[in-house]
Amino acid sequence: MKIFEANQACKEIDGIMILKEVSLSISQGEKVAITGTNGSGKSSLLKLIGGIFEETAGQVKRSQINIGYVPEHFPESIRFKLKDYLMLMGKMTCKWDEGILKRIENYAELFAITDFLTTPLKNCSKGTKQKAGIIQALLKNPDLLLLDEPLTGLDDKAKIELLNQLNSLQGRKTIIFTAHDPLLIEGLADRVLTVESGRIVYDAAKIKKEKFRYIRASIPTKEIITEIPSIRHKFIGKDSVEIIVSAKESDKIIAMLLQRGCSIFELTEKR
Amino acid sequence: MSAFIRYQIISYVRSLKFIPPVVIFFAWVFILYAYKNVPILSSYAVSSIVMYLIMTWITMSIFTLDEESEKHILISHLKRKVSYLFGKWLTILIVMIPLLLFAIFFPIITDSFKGNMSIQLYAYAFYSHLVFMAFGILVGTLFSATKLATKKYAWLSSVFIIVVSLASKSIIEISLFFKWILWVFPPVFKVIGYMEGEDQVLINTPVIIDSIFVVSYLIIGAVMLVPLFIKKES
Repeated sequence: MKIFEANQACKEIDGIMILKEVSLSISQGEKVAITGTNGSGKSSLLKLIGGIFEETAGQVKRSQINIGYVPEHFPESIRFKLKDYLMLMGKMTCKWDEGILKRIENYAELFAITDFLTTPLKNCSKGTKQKAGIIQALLKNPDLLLLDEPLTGLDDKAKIELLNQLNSLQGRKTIIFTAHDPLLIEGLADRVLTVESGRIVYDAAKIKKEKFRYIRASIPTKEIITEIPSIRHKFIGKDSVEIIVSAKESDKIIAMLLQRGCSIFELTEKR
Repeated sequence: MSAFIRYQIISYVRSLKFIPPVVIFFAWVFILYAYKNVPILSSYAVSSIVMYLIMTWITMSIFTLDEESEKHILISHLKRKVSYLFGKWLTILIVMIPLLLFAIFFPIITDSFKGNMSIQLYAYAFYSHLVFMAFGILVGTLFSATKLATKKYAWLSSVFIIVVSLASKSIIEISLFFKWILWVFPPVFKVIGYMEGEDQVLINTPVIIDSIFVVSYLIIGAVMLVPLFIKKES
């Protein structure tokens, strides 16, 4: 089933054409990454797909489905505590109260923000706010999830958790997201659109999703890690590190870590 | 919708943006009834006009309460853009109720009037306050929820509309030509024109015709604001 179709759609704001002759069709269940440089029109295309923007020329058809939207920057001036905010957002969508609190607590635990549930959102860090933005969209149990730069402000662990969550969403949910970070594109997308100056210049299905692994290890010295190529890493304290590595490289990396006197605490496969 | 209205009311209260208009409104009413034995209808006419100003202010504050990204999130939860507009209007109506009750009953409780209230006076007092509040909501919405909101002089323009509508009688006296321009402005004198002189309301044909005109004006105004709001949000 097609959930979005555009034929030569354009969008003009304040006399500036931000989307030009966009022709695009998105089917249910697709995981689409929209890439491009800053100001290329990625977010505008996402908003056009979600109906936040309407076309100023051309034709657009959208199916009537439940949409969850995560903006690039979570609003700064929300005047609620995290839990109160999520409760109200949950109640806006769900007719029944039951289960909302439980779901909020589950998501909070998953995204490691349980300690901040009673903190005013104004006082939360950028990453926590970003997670709140994602949870409010997930609470809708959406058929189409629109994420505008969802990894902005998230730490590596949260990025992986989010990726894991998005991959584990049940049913044929459609996910469309803008991203610069290859982690999300590689780990989630099965189709990549590239936008340049408001035009789609590249639209192709990704043949294979690369798997990657998350490794947590203790290290004798930090210098050891700098000697290991092709990894993303983050130091946790003085003697511990989190590493993200492609699945095919992981055995080699683990062997290198062990040879250098490291201990492996955790190894998790992610997609 | 109830969760959205609760969200808006809590957010509005916590923003403290209600303090200036509400304080000015209360102060104005206190000053208005500082003297005892005041005429009923003309006093209510003054408090109705104050309501017009204050509701324009409150409406603009409530419509500018949410950040752009916050608004997009809220609309995604409400599913339809028009629900956001209706939700805001319902929020404003709820905020309006205590002000309306205060304006009507404060002079009665403090025994400020020189005459006695009758059912007709009550009815006209509620009617005039509600109509002026609705005028305020329309003007406030026009300059905060349509494309006019993005203009530099939105607040100044709303004040201009209020001042011109309140001065329309004098402007028309200068030249009848203005009569053909000023009909687009809120028809305030079709309400307060009957609140001068003696404290009695006559239910006669001119009152009924003017009331039908005023209610039609409000309905048409509200209906026209919906596509203007949708256009801004597209």
